[in-house]
Amino acid sequence: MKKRIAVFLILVLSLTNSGCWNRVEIEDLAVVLLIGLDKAKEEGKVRITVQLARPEEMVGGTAEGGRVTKKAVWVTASTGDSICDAQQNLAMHVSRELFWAHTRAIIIGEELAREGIAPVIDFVDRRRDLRRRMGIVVVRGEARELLEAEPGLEKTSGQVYSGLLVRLFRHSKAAVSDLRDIYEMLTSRGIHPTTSSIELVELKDEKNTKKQPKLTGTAVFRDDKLIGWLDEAETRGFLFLKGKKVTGIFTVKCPVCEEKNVSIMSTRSSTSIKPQLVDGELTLAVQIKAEGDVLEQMCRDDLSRPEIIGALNQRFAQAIKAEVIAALNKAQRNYQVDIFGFGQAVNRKFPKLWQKIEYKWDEEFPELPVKISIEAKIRRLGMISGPTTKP
Amino acid sequence: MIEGGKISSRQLLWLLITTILSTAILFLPSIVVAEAKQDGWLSAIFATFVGLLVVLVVSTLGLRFPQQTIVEYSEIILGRFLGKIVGLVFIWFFLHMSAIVVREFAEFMVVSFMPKTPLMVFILTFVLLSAFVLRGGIEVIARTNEVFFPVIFFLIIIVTILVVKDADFTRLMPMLERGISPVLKGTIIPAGWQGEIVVLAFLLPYLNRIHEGRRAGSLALLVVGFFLFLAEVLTVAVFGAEVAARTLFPTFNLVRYISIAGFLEHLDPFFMIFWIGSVFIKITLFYYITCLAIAQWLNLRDYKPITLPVATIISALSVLLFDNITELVNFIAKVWGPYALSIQLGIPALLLVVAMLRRQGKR
Repeated sequence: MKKRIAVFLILVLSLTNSGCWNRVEIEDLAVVLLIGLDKAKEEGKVRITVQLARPEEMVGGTAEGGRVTKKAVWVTASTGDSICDAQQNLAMHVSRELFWAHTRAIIIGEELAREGIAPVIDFVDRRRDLRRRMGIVVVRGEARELLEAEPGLEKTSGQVYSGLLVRLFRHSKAAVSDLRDIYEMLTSRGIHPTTSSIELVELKDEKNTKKQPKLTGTAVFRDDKLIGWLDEAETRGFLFLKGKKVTGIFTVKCPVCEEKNVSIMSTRSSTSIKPQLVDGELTLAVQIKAEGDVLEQMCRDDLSRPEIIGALNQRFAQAIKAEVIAALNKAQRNYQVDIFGFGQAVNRKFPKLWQKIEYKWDEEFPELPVKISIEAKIRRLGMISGPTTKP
Repeated sequence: MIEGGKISSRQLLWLLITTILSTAILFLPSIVVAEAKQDGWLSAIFATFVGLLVVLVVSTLGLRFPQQTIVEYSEIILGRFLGKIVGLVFIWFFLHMSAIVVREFAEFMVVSFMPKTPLMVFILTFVLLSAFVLRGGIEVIARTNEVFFPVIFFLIIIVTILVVKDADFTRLMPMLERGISPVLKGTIIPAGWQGEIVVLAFLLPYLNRIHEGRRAGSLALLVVGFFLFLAEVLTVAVFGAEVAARTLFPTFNLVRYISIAGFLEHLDPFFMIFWIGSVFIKITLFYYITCLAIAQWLNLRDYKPITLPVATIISALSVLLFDNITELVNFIAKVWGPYALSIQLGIPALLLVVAMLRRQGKR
């Protein structure tokens, strides 16, 4: 009998006392899609903008039964003395519990980025509900405007961002760093952080012009402060120098007619960075290998001869070199920050030498001689073998 | 004998792996990388050798005095008074270790999963559950682990495979950037973990074939050493030495970082399964040894009456030991290594030397 009472008590207690005292039902959640951070107008304050999903509006289907369709997201902002403070203040006017784990990216406003992004990185990585996989991008302008933009194709600008991110390999004209990358670039010597910049641009593709988010080039930091940008071509050169795979179209002049363009699609690339000591002086030998296919020719000359391909190979290499040199010059001359991680390469190859120069690397880098050699090869010409001419 | 149960050498092997690996894989990488930077994996290998030394000493002692634990034979070797002091040191050590592990468990749960739940809830539920398992003796602990171990092992393998995609092994270069001394400094802490193999001094008498004890102990250390090596290599290769050193639980962050094809992500709960299962075994084993040692020290006939009092002490101690998580991490990084090793390796080595000089026990 005693045993039965005990079993009964255990059953009753385990059913009634289970750990749901701080549960949050799904309809009480507000799912955050994007976070925007700006300098607030008030001195020393931060503004956080969040894009919250309206799940009931996210599903497809037509509006019927006189139901008023609302937008799929609600964008709202709040200010505070710190990012956390601003975030907590959101609770004063947002009626649901904010749910952060599905945030796709943090968009940092230009002004805030110029003051330093270290507080943002700290805020994000200290939290348990945001992950290191999350992208961090800098907006040219205000983050809030970007979050409020009405996308043409998607329901939210968060979806636009994810979509653009998946298709970066199409052009290699932007490179997004996630939290891990930025954290590492901030804390390691011999490299400075970079990430993609995003911009609201007017696209006149419809009758009414709307501002659309667009990934444009690269944001360059010295330590944690934004100091400038790389444009799209420079970004590709930067990616080559950083050893990332670069795919995308390079247009060169046709070697026969010398006036019309030929499009070459770079399909794979690799970079080797070798620090060398020449007569006691540190130099860097960069070797880039690229392969490509001809995707289009705008003239009517015959390209399908080995010697023409040889000439095209050279032009392909020159086109790459131009972008690489542009990126290198921008970093060495204009900004004077090592965004390529050359310092890290030196550290790996010459650890002893590095210990002497690591603290003055920022001064050494602009003077560093960099030798660039490029081997570019065209492999295929697509599905046709001849030009569009009469024989 | 207080404990009538017997375990097989395979059960012992699994038990030892779970026990050492559980907290080591979570707390060690960042502390080791903070000292040894990208050479942390070397520290893991060196630490394994230190652990093997402990196995050698403890198993030699165990073979000289079969049927007895270290608390019993230290009285034979050093005489009643000094022997009792050694026994007391071990009782304190295991009590202390139980309390630390309980606190580590609770801290991780609060930091990473349930910030609003009071620390005491985790501590009490775990210690009370352990107390329940404990009443079954060593056989029940070993069998419980037989349920957890395959799951734990499987999870570690899966996570390793999924993480490799994001690893960049050039981050492990240059090797020995600042010489060997940071690596040796970084070795002391994991050595204190590998030295936990000293539990053999209490478990050997309950092994059904005592001669297999040394092999099981060594094999356990090699397996743990390999996983520690993997953890060091992967945390550095994925995050870089600087970030890994600045992260409280880098291996947990590794699991959180996993993202395969955009849908296989948010795998944190699997890590929680690993963590709860393995730490539960660890706490239970240490708690069991504490009770066993006290009972033998006091010449009791049974250890069961003292399980609940010891549970009370462990729970209270785990709260009182550290004020905040910084104290806990600092203690592990600065004090734990030398302190643990002097008890895990120093005292058994001393006992062995004296026993050999006095020609005591079987040979």
